[in-house]
Amino acid sequence: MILAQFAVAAAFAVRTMRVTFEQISPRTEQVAMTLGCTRAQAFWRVVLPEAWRGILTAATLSWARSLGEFGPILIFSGATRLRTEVLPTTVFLELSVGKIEAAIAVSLLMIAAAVIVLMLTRTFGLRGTGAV
Amino acid sequence: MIDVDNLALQQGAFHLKDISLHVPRGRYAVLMGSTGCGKTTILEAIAGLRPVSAGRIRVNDRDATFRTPGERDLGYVPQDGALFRTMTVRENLAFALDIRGKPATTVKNRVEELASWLRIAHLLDRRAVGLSGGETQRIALGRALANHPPVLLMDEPLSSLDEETRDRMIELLQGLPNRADVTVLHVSHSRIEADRLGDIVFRVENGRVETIKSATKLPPVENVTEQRPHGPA
Repeated sequence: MILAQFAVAAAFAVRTMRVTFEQISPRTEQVAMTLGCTRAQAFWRVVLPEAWRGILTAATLSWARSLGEFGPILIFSGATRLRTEVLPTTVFLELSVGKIEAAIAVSLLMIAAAVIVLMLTRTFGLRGTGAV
Repeated sequence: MIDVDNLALQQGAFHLKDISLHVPRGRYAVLMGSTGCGKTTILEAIAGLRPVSAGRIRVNDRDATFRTPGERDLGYVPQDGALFRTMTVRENLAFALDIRGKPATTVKNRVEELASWLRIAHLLDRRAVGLSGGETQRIALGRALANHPPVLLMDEPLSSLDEETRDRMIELLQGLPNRADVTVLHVSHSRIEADRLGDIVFRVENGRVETIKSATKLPPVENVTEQRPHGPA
């Protein structure tokens, strides 16, 4: 189940982080190296802090994608109560036995979790940029 | 001192060969040439940011041809300044000293000394974003000089500045070799900058470097006002 979620989410994360790192000028890393850094030090001290917001965005997108993952989990792990059950399959299981209220409650829970995480990400992601 | 001897560089289809230039200690040299002639490539090779195919580079009397950029003990100011945007101006100026583990009081004193000289003291606690072109270049210059490098390389540092700011920067740079005890190689395509700043002027043309103004008639370098307290890193 974790493998299925990771495979799908990693594709989103890798694409987002690739764009992030491509947008960072290699010049800053080069300057850091002329100032005495090794390549690894230049990456940790200069490049990674610049990529921080992109990494946060990638993590959020991956998490959101994993949260709503349904198809691969149903196929590879099944939907067994209290064993391979995740929130989307819970909605499916509740609906399939006619418990509409329970399905709606779980759906609202997912929406609330997504909103809270997006708000937290926005707050922490913009901290230090002058926008918050 | 910068000594480049029969250097050859290859980057895709573009190549330079038999590049030789010599800048004696304490002199201000300007490397001129039209856009795309390879000025920046030569500067980056001296800085260790580009591999060389053949030849030899000596920086401050040490063979630097195969040394890493950090081992060459030089300062580098790129065209756009390339400030570290996640850091404050103070952290940018302190970077070379912090990475070498210098004591906090040494770092603090050096940063304040540079900030005072470059007139950027009011910017020290500001994040290094949204600065003017002149401020960016002064901070990049201070960051490059923080560890007292004997050699400073500058890649068209004045090209994006307005005329008034450029004049002020030229006045600042004119006193640089004496004040900071540094040998300077400044890449530019501006004849005005070469005339006002260069003790020595080189021109890159058709893949070769020719000396169009030499330092042989200049008096010897003396009266250094700021001594290098730490020596080479």
